Amino acid sequence: MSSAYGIADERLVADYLNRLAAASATLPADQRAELFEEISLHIAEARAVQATAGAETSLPVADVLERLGRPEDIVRAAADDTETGPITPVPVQRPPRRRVLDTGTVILLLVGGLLIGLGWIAGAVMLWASPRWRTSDKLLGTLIWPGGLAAVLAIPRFGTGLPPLLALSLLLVGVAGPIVAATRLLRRAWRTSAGPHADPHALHPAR
Amino acid sequence: MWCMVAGEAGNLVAQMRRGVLPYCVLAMLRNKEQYGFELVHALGGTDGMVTGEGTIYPLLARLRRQGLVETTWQESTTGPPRKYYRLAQAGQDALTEFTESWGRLRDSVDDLLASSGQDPFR
Repeated sequence: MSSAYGIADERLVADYLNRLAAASATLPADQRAELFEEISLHIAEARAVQATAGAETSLPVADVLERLGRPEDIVRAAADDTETGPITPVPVQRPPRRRVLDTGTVILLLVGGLLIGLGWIAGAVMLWASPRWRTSDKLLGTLIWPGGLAAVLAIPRFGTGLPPLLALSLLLVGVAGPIVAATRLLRRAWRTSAGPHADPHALHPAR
Repeated sequence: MWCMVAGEAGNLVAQMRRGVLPYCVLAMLRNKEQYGFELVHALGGTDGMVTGEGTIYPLLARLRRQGLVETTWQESTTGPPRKYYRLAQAGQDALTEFTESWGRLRDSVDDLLASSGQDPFR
């Protein structure tokens, strides 16, 4: 029942597709071919519905084309969509210098205390100066423990009178504390240095 | 510098619509795959969602290029072969995330719009 469309309708479709072909000349070839294929199929599908449906539910070809919109507008949407769009998975990029700086800060906090304590102080200053950490992280990094792993050295020196079990526990906590804090700081820095685009599905509305 | 003028809201809504449209497409594919004509026609029939149905095809193409939807060809007994779209795992993830964010944003804006003009300290 291909006769559902008259000559006038055929001409409308041909004109429409010609306009689409002309307007889409600037698109990349594969995108252009895909768009042309989809629009042609859309019209062919509407034509099939027209042929099989009763007259009361069929949609005149002029209406089908009007609902599709101007070919030039479709091509403009395709051009806008070429690279930018509402859902753009953004590759996670971490500026290497920041990463080195952040890692250096954490290392100083961890073992800097062994350099007559000065390394730890430098680490603490860098920690508080960095925008990559929240205040809660900065407090954590500073308070557990001041001096970092160097604080553990104080245990044998001042803890000689302690029962061995307590001294051992203190030693373990003394070592574990800074390592846990350092791990947390590094993970936070890692995430933050990826910036607001770390979210793979961040919204980037098309212009 | 912010300057709100009459008519700007309409423009803003148009931009917002363009921003959420991809997620609406993903949502329509959540429960079943659909072929292009079917999907586009349904979206076109949703009040105020699209101005031209044809503009959805470039969007579908991009969602496919980004791996958010997958396509398969199937023969049809009543018309031309159909390109079916279905949600890929990445699309599912994006939709889940958007659904949560959207709910929060919608609630916050609704609250603010409803409460504006009331002095909370009175």
